[in-house]
Amino acid sequence: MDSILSMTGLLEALQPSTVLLILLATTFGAIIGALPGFSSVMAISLLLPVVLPMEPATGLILLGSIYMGAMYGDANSAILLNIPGTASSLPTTFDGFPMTQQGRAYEALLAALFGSVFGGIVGVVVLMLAFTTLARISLMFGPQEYFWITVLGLTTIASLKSETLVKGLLGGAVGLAISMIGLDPYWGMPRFTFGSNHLIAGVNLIPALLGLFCLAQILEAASGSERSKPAQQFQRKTSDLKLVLRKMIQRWDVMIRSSAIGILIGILPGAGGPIASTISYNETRRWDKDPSKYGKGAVEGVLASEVANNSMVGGSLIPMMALGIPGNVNAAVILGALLSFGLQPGTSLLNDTSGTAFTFMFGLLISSIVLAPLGYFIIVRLGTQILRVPTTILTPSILVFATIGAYSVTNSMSSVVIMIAMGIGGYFLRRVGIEAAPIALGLILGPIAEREFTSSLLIAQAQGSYLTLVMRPISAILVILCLASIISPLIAARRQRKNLKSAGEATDA
Amino acid sequence: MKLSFTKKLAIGLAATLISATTALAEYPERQIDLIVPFGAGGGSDRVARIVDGGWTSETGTGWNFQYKPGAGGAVGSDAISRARNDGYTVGIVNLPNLAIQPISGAASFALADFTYLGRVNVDPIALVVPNDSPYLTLEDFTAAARENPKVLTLAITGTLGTAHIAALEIMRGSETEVTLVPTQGGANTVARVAGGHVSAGIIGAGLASRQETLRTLAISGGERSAAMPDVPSFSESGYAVNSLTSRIFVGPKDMPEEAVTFLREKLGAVAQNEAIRAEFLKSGQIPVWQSGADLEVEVLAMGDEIRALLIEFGVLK
Repeated sequence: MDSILSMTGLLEALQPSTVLLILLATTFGAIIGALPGFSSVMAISLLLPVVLPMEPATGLILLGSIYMGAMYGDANSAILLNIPGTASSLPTTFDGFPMTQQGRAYEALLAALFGSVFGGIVGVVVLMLAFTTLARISLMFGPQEYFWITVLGLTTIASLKSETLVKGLLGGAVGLAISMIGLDPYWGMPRFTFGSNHLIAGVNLIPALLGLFCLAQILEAASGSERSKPAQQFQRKTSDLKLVLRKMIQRWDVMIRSSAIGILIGILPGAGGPIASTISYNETRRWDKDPSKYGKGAVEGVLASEVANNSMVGGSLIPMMALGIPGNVNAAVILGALLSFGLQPGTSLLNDTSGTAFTFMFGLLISSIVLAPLGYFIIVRLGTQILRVPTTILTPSILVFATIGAYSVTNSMSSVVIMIAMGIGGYFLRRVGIEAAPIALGLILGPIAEREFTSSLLIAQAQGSYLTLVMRPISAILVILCLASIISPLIAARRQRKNLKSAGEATDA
Repeated sequence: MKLSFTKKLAIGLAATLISATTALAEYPERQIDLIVPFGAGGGSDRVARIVDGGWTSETGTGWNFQYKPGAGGAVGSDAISRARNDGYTVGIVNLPNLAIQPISGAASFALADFTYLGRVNVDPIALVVPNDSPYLTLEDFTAAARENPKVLTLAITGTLGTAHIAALEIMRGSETEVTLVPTQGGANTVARVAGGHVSAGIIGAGLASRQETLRTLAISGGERSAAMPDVPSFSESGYAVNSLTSRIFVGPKDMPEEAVTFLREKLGAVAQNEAIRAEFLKSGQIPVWQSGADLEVEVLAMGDEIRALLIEFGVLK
């Protein structure tokens, strides 16, 4: 790091007007992220025309802060309402919502907040210190590795709480099947569209998730099901803050591992937030001494998901700034802004004497730090108020937001129709014990897995050996991780059965 | 009192009538909707925003942007073809995607369903290899491909798009066969090529000129690019690779005559404005201007040429 450039960068980022801008943008991002159906991509794309007349560094900081805020904000609706604000916070619902049902909403919200702050800071610091090296590492991942990473994400289905493993897998298969609708990734020809114009673009993730989580849940609540109801009584205990912070120190292994996973997945262009948080959640559960507590309100589950999806922010900017390859759509929009400012990614950006790159990175760091007071004093307090809103007001408001969110994805009613169809379908599947989470995982990961598998096969055919699918060093490691992820829950289940059996024998005797 | 009210009413009515007749005489009387068939912040949006700046200073009002992404632009293009043809809805679409979609079945529109207003930019394609690749020139690459048919891998951004057509043109021109590996976007292609996971890739020349980790072997379009004067065009090797991406403005068919004239004239003025051209160049785009009548002939011919090429390579039956 060039010390003079970084010093000017730091001073620029610490100007009162810049700090104020960061505060506003981070808050805006957090609120957008918390609203189901409103994504950070939408927020930063809409602000692009506003940003372009600004100073490059200021404009970039504004966009980056919104991105950072949104990756935190999405946890709030996941925890309070079981509706992931963006796909990245899907795993936050696994333990976050059960905590709310147990009256521990405040504790879960604090865990999400401080997890996000920790992850955000680690991600940006790594971005500042090691981005040339990490950018080079990101290039080592080819289609084969991408395929195995998505498979690793899919193995999470085995460890999700569902009535039976078969029903979980069935859910995953439903998601994969729905993800295949649209133009196929190799030939670009329409498939499974049943001749409908509306299905040619495929089933967009945002309306599909809104249907599966918002609508299906509202239908379930309306039908009087017990398990969708949040706990009525809950208190904001000051001891919760101490509890969460102590947990974070105690489980330093979770914090470190989740940050590392978030950054690693973040630097891979096209992999993205949902994979980072899902793999992080799964690994945290698997390495835990007591995996059975997950899905029932384990605070580590919330931490794992949120640490990873905020450390991903810094990670996803690494290939964008070093190579001009955006890690995800958010980074792509920021890259667009960078180019419009006349800045070129790569070494020239780092050596740029105006120090824009450093000001931007320090701005992001400040954004991830100010998240702490911002979340603690504003967002968490506002969030907990939601639980006091009577269902008769809350449900219609959620429906309105979800509908607007779905409509705005493609600015057409076909997305709303998709949301409704997924909602009704999801509701009936829930009634037979197939949960929304595995369906969502299939939907999110299916297209990436298919595309990368096709690419891997084509390359294997050209090279004349299918061994390239598994024998490249990194892909071999990933294959082993996948196998471990599949086998370990089976062993755990068998051990549990054995224990039950021997306990039964003991009482018999 | 009463008299003055009637008076007021009469004056008001007269004023409305006058403004109504002038409105009829002068198109446009209100803001024009612009459909962008891709997401906000994407390449098409960036081109549209630059033109919007010039349009605002030329006519006094900007466009009302409407994003209708999906299916590689097919959803938005379809919306343009079905829009009311009163001159108040136009769109910015991407060639050759527009010409390919009716062939592949991704779209329900036909090329004759549009009024062609003008072409504002072109982006040739570039054949790129990693910096440490053994292929230093286009000839090195095609020689290796000729020696080992189908063994070299070529990453292309999406199937049935500019890069795919260019790849087929290269194979036809150099009489070679390579394995095509479709990727999900330009950035993805860059990552695959830079990481050495494929032998080479095809990306936009604008994108290629910004890469520090890639070497460009040749560009399409018949001429060298000002941004990369050292890179030859394919035609210097004796065959034509014409595939390039361009953005064109279109509207639904059978728009009012005066609207078409106005839109073509003003778009032409904007596209030829020096300040706007400079902005295009700054964002890595090559500004051009081709007016609607010529463009229409070219697009319709392009549809037939691409169909023949796809049939030749067995992509279409």
